[in-house]
Amino acid sequence: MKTFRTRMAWFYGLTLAAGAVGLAAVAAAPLLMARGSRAAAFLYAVFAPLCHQQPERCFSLAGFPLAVCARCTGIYLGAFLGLIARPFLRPLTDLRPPCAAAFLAVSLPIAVDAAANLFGIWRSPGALRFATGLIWGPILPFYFLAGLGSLFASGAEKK
Amino acid sequence: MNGRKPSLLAPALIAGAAGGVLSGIPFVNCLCCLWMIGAGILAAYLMAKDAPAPPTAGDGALVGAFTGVVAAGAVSLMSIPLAALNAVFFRRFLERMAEYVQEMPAGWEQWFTRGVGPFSFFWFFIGLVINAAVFAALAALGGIIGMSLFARRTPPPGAPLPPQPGSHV
Repeated sequence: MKTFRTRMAWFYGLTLAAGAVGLAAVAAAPLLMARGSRAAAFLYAVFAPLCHQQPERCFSLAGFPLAVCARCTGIYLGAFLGLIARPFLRPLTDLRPPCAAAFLAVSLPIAVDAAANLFGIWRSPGALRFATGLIWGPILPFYFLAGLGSLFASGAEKK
Repeated sequence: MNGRKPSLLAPALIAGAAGGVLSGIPFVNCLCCLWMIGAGILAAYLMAKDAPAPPTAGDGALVGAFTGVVAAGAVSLMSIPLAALNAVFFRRFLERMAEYVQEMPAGWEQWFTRGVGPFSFFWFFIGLVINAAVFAALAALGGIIGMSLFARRTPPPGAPLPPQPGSHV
């Protein structure tokens, strides 16, 4: 029987791999576009339901916009960095989610900036959009692993 | 404790339909993946509100994942009547990209003509599967966040107590 620790290590590894694939796909879309590959169309289409993909709000690579906007890039990169940092900050077997105050604190910049842009109060540059995503993203894997562990691993023998 | 699990169906259907509709309407979908995370949070709130016992983070992940699947279904269904409109938006996206970048690859105008052709069940199914997987992951994340925010630490008054360690159920 797999121990709780082993299961959580598997979940962590799979989540890390999925995150790396997702980030690679974001960067691969413009690189494939620059090479004239039709696979670029598929990658842009995959991310289309998740992001507005407005070229002027996206960072560029090889002369073409990334598959997601600057804010989403920040969220994805931040989440991936948070995922890497997760086992160094807290044991994988610790399934407690972050406290509500921490979530609200990191959510405040992205909420204010997104709302202000949505209602036309101001227009943020790409770097600021990216920064608000990068601040918010790292807390997400702490929730995701807590939920995965609670759902799939809590029945395992805890050692 | 009667072991009743909180209901997943109603919160997932309500939040999934709302999130799917908002994600599927052009212009309104400018909040990107936040709609799906928000739908997961809404589902967790609806579930925790009426739960007979305090739900767990796993319950939040489960209701969030169902919410994402429902939302993917809603988005895919909406894409059928909105196919022509989406094709226009996608072409406009490419034309704006063509204005934005130095040089587009040769023949890019023909890359996306599939979207304006007759309805294809194959591409509809592929889109549904991809959307369901991605939306389920994002909404599950929202469900876990929502459960951490809204789940009661103690059962509501009058609710049966959870089983104690070593007790027989």
